[in-house]
Amino acid sequence: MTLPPTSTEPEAPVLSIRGLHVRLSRDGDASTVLDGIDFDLARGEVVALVGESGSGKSTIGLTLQGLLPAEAQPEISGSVRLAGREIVGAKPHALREIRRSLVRAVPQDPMGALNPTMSIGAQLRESGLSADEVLDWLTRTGLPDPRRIASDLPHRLSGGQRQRVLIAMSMAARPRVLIADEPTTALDVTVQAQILTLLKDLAREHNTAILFITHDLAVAAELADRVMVLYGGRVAEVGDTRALITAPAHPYSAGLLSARFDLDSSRDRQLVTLSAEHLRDRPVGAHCNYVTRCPLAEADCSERRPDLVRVHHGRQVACFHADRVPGLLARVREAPGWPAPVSSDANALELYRITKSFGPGRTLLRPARQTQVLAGIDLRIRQGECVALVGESGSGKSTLLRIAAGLLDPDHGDVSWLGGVPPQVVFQDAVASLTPWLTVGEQIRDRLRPLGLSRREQDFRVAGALKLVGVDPALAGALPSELSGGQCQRVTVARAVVVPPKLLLCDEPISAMDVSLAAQTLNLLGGLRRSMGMAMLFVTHDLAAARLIADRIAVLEKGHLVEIGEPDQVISAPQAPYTKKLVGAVPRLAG
Amino acid sequence: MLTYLLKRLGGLVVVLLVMSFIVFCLQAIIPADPARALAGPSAPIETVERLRTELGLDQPILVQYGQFMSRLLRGDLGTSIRTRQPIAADVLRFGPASLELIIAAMLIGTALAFVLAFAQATMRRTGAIRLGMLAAGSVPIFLTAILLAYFLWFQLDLFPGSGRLDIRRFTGPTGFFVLDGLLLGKPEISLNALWHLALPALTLSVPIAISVGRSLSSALVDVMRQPYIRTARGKGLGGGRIFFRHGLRNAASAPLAMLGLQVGLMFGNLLIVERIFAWPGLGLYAVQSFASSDLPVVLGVAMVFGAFYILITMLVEILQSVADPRIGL
Amino acid sequence: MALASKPATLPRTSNFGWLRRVAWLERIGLLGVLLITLIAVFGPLALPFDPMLRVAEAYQPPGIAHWFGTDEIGRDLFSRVVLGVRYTWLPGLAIIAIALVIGTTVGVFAGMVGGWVDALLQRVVELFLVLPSTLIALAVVAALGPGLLNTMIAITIFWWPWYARMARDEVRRIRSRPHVEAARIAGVKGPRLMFRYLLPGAVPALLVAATLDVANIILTLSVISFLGLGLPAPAPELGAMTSRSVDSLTAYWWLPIIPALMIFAMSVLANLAGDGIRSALRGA
Repeated sequence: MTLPPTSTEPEAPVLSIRGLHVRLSRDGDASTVLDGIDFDLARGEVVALVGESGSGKSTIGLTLQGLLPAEAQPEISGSVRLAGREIVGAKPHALREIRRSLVRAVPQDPMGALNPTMSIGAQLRESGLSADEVLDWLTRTGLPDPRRIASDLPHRLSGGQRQRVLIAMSMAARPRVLIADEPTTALDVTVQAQILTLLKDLAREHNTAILFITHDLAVAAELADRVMVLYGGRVAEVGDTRALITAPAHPYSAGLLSARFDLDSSRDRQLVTLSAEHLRDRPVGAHCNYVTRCPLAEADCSERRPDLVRVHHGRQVACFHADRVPGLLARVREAPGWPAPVSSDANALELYRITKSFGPGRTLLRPARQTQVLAGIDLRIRQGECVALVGESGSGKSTLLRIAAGLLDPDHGDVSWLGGVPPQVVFQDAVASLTPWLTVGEQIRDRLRPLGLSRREQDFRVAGALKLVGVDPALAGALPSELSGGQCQRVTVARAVVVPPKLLLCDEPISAMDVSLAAQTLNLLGGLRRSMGMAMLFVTHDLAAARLIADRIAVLEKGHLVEIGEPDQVISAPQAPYTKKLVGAVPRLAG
Repeated sequence: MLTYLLKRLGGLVVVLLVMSFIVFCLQAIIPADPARALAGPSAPIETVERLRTELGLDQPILVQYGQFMSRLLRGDLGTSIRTRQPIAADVLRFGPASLELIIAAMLIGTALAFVLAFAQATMRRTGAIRLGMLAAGSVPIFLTAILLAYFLWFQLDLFPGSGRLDIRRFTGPTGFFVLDGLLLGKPEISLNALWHLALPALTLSVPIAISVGRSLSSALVDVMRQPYIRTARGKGLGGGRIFFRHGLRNAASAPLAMLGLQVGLMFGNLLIVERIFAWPGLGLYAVQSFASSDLPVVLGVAMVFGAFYILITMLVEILQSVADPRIGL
Repeated sequence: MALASKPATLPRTSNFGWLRRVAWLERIGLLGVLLITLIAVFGPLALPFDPMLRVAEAYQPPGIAHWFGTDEIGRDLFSRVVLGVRYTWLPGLAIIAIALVIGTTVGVFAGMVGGWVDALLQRVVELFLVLPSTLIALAVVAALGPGLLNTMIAITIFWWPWYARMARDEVRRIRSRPHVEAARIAGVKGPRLMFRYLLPGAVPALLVAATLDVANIILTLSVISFLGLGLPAPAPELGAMTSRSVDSLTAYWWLPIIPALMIFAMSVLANLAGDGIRSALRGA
């Protein structure tokens, strides 16, 4: 939070955007990515820019730096004033000067963002720092042994360490504005918490304004003074963080808030997803761009574009019917409950003292150099029960899943399945787990092959499975590339359940999804497993998702099962220190 | 780093051994009778038999291989049937000429590759550059040589069409005439040598320029798309620094490999260029040996050139690890 | 519970979508390649003159009677060039086809089986690739004696390792992709897994490489023929024809230049065709 200004005169905003329009081309087709943005950023203020993929949030960051890719043939109009300098239409060398000292960015994926053939110290010195300043900044961003790190190449550093280096590189220039484009999505949640704190502290120290781009409202709540919600290249709503989150004024913001689930969501009901699907066709001419999905839409929404108007204290909304939004939120309480579960006492999965190590084995020339990934794991899942396996990267959770699936053999220990039948698996990247050149119908049908059914019966079962997961059976003849990401994920679920398995393993199935799609998928998986009586092992790093889907949560830390128990117990009263750390690191909406 | 180099060196020694084995096998399977070939078609049987014993051709294969290897290690590559000189001596006499040509071709080729890659990058929209490179890459080397000779020598008389120097019977201390002129304090000899070097080196450089240029171009396109380029631009660095330190340095690996590969593929082209331009190097030597079925020469030259290529490969690997310190560590 | 998505209409995938991706130049290449194949196969059956006999005065420049002129013996150059096309094009295609078959079989096998078989193959292929192939091919041909068959054998021996490595790399790449794993979990086994789920992904890369190689092969064959290691005279091999008449370039330019241009034409068209196939397969 910023300190109250000492003078009564409002300070000039460090960033002032008026009427920003940006068009980008891809393969010759131009489309409007930013459609009339008006916005002010005050000195030292932290503003979260929230939106789904395709909202244009990253483009704003690139425009501020003057780094829109040349091959996209950008057309920019409007005004962007940064510390008094106009960016739109500025000459390249002026832009370079602006980038050097006024605005810096921290990228989303730290892995590829550092020159792999240049030492960390050299890359920092390129920013204009002396050798001593380099060490100083590395220490300030919390990196241990800065001398060693300065002489290392990037590939020796972990993701979190690289992100700290990138933050050091940006902040060392003492920019007026720092653009952070989802800087923590690629990081573990405990590391995320540290990075967020670091950013907040540094920004306050140097009075740097931060434009924090994210899709996660909880992260926004922890960090930002104000929130700007972006939809389809237009500003939907802007306002004080606390106020906006408690009482959103735009239907889209309400949708985002209701679709998100966290540690406080109700476990007894399914998640409500407001308008994730298209409800009507796009009208011709000027219109509100949310009209195709908005549950509150009326005739005027398809005829005129709503302007961004001030509604009350510091809040601006672009909607004709903002007054009806509170009623929309009330509907959230009326989500359908889960179907009644079916379970029994038999164990669907038994893992006994599973141990696994990776690395080069012993050769003639040197001893084995192995890292132990799993250290004697015991786990039992009852039929009809869902156990969530929670852990960060390096915990061994994916390895355990692959062993449970029969894809990998453990070094020691036993795996047994009910009836000896191997389980089905749903993977994280749905599109990658479908063969690109075969139709989805064929791939589902391949599961029915050993049953020796007639062709007609097979088609019938395939259609049934598709209907069950909410996909139009007519799409059975489509190739994966012709379907959306969400449809592909549902197809993989259909493939898994067309012959109902006793055990379903899910490997981070929602990690790469937008919030509304993730909610839908959780509903799908949760409902199916209860109605079909499937046991489920749900591997995830998202504690909130684990809590919603599972009957029990198992926490994995570096190959050790440190805690297992009922979700509410594990979360509200964690026993193991690691669990405590994990629970504490989850960003909360309540702040 | 040292262990890595030693390992690679070991691997290359193995390859040299295999090559020598192949060469030896080839010698063994030729239908012609080397003893008869050396003695001449009209020599009496006894001479042929005597030669055969002398050459050790009546020994079992493995013994012959042993003798072959021991001769090889002593630097004895055999004797040419045609010139009746030890092949090693011939190699030393003709080698520098070819080496001069190869080095010149590589330098010109690399420079042209940069020009081509740069042109392709800046003129992305027009397919003209791509088409030009495709056409230039489809030209058989003798056609390039013929066309260059015809226009630049015959029609315009800009460059000489054959030979290494206008002076007859010049021998310098190193055999590299461009160098020798400077060493002897007679720069006009060096210039003359360069002038003669122009056409054959240019011809030989074309395939190098095309393939290295293509590799460089595509590597650069890939690299410039990487996130760290955006980071560099975000720091406000200038275009030149970004291109060289961040772009080129990371893109160098593949084109370097292609350069090394081109040297290996150059052998056939070298023969043709030396033949057309009457360049007295190993290539011409080999071509004349083909014509007179002088197999020992062909195999000896193959051995030499093979070893040379393998050394180049190793040099390329060293350069690659200099450009990208991640390799070899 | 079912979240019904709006019934989507099945996207219309045109069967000729691939054609649109091919540039017009590349289409010329594909057509040209077809034309050359026809010429190579049927051309020599309909020659205006006997390519091996003296039919007119020597050293006639190109004209109405003899489109490409006549050579040093008075043979019609046009007929000789057409026959020469056959002697270069067909063996070239044959070499690639054979090398492709051998290479793909070995490569796929190594990629599927893995283990020591794969490691062994890797070493063998590496060896072949490190040796300067043109050099040794020339040496082999010189040793075995000049001739078309020997040349073809020598080149094929050095060509297949490229395809083997490519096939093996493709198989390994696809094998570790999630969709193959997912198929295995879904119960797809053995031959069905290999033929429906694996191979179709490996074919495009190999096909493109093979097509682009046609141009390379043409050039390599012409180099060997230029050096006198192909079919012996009086056979009309394009490279040899150029080589024999190089010294008369200034006096009778058509003798070395026309056969060389023919090689150039075949190579350019093959390259364009290769690019065309690559463009066409890009979406696949």
